[in-house]
Amino acid sequence: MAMRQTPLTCSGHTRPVVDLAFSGITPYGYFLISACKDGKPMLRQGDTGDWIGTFLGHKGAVWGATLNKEATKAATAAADFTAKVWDAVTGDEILSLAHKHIVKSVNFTQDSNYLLTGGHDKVLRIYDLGKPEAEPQEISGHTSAIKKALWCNNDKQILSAADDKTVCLWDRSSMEVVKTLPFDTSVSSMEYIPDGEVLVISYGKTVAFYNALSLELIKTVDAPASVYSASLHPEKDFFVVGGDDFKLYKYDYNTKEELESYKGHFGPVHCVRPDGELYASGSEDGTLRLWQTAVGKTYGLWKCVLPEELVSENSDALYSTVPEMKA
Amino acid sequence: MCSVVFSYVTRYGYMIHNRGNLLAAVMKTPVRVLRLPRGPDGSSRGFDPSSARYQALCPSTISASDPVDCVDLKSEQRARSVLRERYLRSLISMVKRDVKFTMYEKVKVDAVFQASDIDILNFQVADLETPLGVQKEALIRCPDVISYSFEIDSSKM
Repeated sequence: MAMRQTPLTCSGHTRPVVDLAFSGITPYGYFLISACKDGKPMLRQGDTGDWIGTFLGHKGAVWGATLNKEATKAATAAADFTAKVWDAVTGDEILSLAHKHIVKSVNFTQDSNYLLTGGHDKVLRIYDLGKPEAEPQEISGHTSAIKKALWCNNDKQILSAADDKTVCLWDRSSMEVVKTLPFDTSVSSMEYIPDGEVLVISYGKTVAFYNALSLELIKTVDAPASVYSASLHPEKDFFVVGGDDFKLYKYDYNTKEELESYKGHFGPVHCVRPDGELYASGSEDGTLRLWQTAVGKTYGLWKCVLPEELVSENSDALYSTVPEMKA
Repeated sequence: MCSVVFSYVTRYGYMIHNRGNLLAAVMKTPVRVLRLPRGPDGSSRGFDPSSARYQALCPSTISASDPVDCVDLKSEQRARSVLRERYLRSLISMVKRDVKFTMYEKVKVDAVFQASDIDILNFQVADLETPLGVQKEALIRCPDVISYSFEIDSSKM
């Protein structure tokens, strides 16, 4: 029997959710961090969406958030001109790194020893978290605000997307630009998939996939509306797209076919992150929603119901799902 | 029990005739959910110290320490406990006393301290002196406070 997707709504934020990140798989499951304009990033259990804690300390909108692989550390980038590093187990602030302007992006290296930041002051900074008092290494070159900065190629290189309509690949040791990708319009999101070295970039209504090492274009897909965020599933079967038509789209990566689309948010979908069994979306409406990759499968809070269980005179059994999916 | 008869085309293009026919194998049934995700509890910032993850990982997440030496860890824990107890006692001694708060945005206010919440996120104060007048009861957000001071010797009850 065909099943209809029931998204799980995670409430708590009071302003638009602008960034999401998952951790790796840890012995305690995996985790999700959300960046929000209310200045209070939250940590949630990845498979259920249950709130674990709120990182308190920022004095402005939080534009970027990330977790390290083990989910022991979190980093956030905010409009209060700081990037902060947090203990993701206790919720305590470990470090506050002052910048000269709004910080938009933060990213840990694989070993969690270095933090890359980028923002409105147009400079990429690399902080050695073992020596927090030391000055960060700085990489200049972008001519306008940096939107996203990511480590790639085993942390040997850096990818950055800026409002100057370019995406640049930098060598970490030489701090020089290796390659530049120009665009006609500002890049709305950029994501790096280490497995297979794929770069996902969205701009306008287009989602483009590049080889992360050579920056050669692999393919592009056009969406029905302006795309705020696009993200590729780790196994490259599908990618999800969120845009300003309030919808989420799921596409087959190989055939470029639109597989599913969902209305559920009440505002433009600012970010999407797939993570194996589910994908998460954050919206202007202040909520996060978790969506199943395989609709109907028992996972997390979703329960697979066998056909026999559905044949019932009692309609309560049928409508025991969350009514919020309509609201 | 009245049986509602209605028909409309859903976004999946199915016609729903009446409740009795709902299970006629053409309707996509929504996936069932065990419960909703739990949201923030409103009174604290979370990170439950009794959770399995916290219990297992907490010693190694004390940022200031080098977790190599167990003895150093114990003495650091002891020092932290002493400092924590001292701070809590300072809060107790502050009750019903005049406190001067220096806050962001060049704000300096006086108030009578009543209580703090468990996470030291909010201070409950009385007779808060503001440019708009004296507020009989107020909550001060601790993250907005840069420093505060009070005298132990004199007290206005």
